Formats: sequence, structure tokens, C-alpha cells
Amino acid sequence: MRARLLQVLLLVLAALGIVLGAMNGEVRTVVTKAINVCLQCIGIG
Amino acid sequence: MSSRRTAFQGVTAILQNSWFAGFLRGTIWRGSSKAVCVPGLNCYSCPGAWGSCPIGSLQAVFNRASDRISLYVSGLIGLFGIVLGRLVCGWLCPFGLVQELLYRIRSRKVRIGPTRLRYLKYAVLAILVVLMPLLVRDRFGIGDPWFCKLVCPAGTLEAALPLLALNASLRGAAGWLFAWKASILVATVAASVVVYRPFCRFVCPLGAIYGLFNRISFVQLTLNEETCTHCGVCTDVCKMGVDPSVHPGDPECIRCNDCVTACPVHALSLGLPSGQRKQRTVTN
Repeated sequence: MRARLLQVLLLVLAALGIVLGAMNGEVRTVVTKAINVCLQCIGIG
Repeated sequence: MSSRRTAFQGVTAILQNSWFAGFLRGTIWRGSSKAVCVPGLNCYSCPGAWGSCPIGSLQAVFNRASDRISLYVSGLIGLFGIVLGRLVCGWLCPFGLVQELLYRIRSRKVRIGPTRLRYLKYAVLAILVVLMPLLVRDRFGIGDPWFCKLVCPAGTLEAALPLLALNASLRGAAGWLFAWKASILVATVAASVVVYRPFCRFVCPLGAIYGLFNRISFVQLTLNEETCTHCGVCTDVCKMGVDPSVHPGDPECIRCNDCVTACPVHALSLGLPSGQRKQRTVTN
């Protein structure tokens, strides 16, 4: 029962993080990074 | 089950990287779907990638002076983790599939049991994914995604090789850093032929995070202690060095299902625990 409660709590926290992060504009940061070639990833930057 | 899982991994790897025009043009997808992170380690600079890499995105937000801690990316990783745990590694990660296919090459195999080397991935997570992107900054206050820059062989394989092959200007800019990353990729490929998933077991920071969820995730490897005879078959078939009859919630378990299939008395099951039988899903 306690394990299930922890699961639900973490699930809610994760969902809350997604919503609050999106409201904070983090999605834009992620998209900006992802739609441009990541020079560090390819060993140039 | 193993070949079914391989087929599933193949389909998901292709689906995640199916913007085929990118492979022809030497460019990457620039659509809004990149706002969403995929569950596994899949470079967002792979020409075919539709989504974002969770580890790259995590560092991208750490790198910004204004954001620092990413609730959005942490929330997405947490969501995958609490629902699936390291099932992501076993079923949804394209780089995990690459290592598994390499391991199928006929050669002498080295089995590595539980070893302290497994803690290396937690150090990689703490130092290269969190601390350095947060603390090491240039004069403009911008940091680097240090794990991507110094280590990630998935980025070298999925992004660097196709982009540099197709793009002369990028190829001309490649220097010592690319040589370093290519060396890591070569070492990972060579190791994968003789050791099962060496990158996942010892280096991958995403696997380290999902491993922490293994004991509490919704999807569980469940042991029926009344049925288990402790014959050791599950331990023998586990290539991740786990003993499922003692630690079904082990952080190293990628939920590949091999032990479930091999168990002669059907004491192991993978899925959402029913809670009806005397079971053990959480152990130390």
C-alpha cells in the first residue's frame, strides 16, 4: 500500500514538473537546442 | 521472446529516427515534435530523429544561466522512470539495441558479474550531466553539455558519422574532439562484441537514473517466492549480472524478460504486479 502511494506521489510530482517546467519556458530551451545541430554531440563544439 | 524483443527494439529505433530525408540531405528535423524527449538515449542531432534526447535536454537547461534546474525534462524522465524503470533500456533504447546486435557477433564472450564498475555511471551522471553543465561556464554564462561533448558514443554514431559524411563544412571543422569521441565509439563497439551492453552497464547516465526507479516503478519483475526453487537458471541467463531470485528489483535489471522465459517453474513475471500472491518486487 505504501509502495503504491509512493508510486502515485512520484507520478504526480513528475506530471507537476512537466507542467511547471513548460510554464517556465523550458520547452523552448529544449526545442532550440534540439532543432539546431548539436556541435558538442558531433565532436566539433 | 528475445527475437520478439529485438524486433520491437528495431521498430521503435526506426520510428524514433524515421525522418529519412535528413539522411539524404545531411540535415536534422526542425519541427515542434522535438519539444518532447524520447525515453531512451537517442541523439537529437541524428538526421532522422523526431524527438529530443533526455540527457542532452537535461544538460541544455542546466547550461542556461536563467533556468538551471529543469523541471520539464526531469519530469519527463521521472515519468518514464516511475512507469517503466529500466524497461526503457531493454525495449526502447536504440543504442542498447546497437550494443545487443554487436554482442551477437561470434566471438569469445566475457561475462562480468556484479562489479563496482557499475557505480561509474552514477559518477558520470553526477559529474558530467549535472555538476559540470551547472558550474563550468564561459564568460557569457553559458555552459556545455559535457557528457555529450566528451563521452556520448550514441551522439557520435547517430549524429556525427552521418552528418560529417554528408556535410563537407562540418567535416572540415572536425578536429581533436571528434577524434576523441570517435575513439570512445570504437572502444564501445569493440567492448560490445565481447561484453553484453558495456555502455549501459557501466557508463550510461540515463540507465543510472532509470535504475533508481527499478524498485518502485509500476512495471515490475516479480518473484513468486512460493514457487521459486532457487535453481539458479535465471542468474545463469541474465547477461546484466543480476540474480532475479534474490533481487528482482535490482537497478541493473533492464527487464529483458530472458529470466522469465527461462524459469522452469514460472516463478518470475514481468508486468504490473497483481499483489494477490506472495511476491517479492522490492528487495535490497
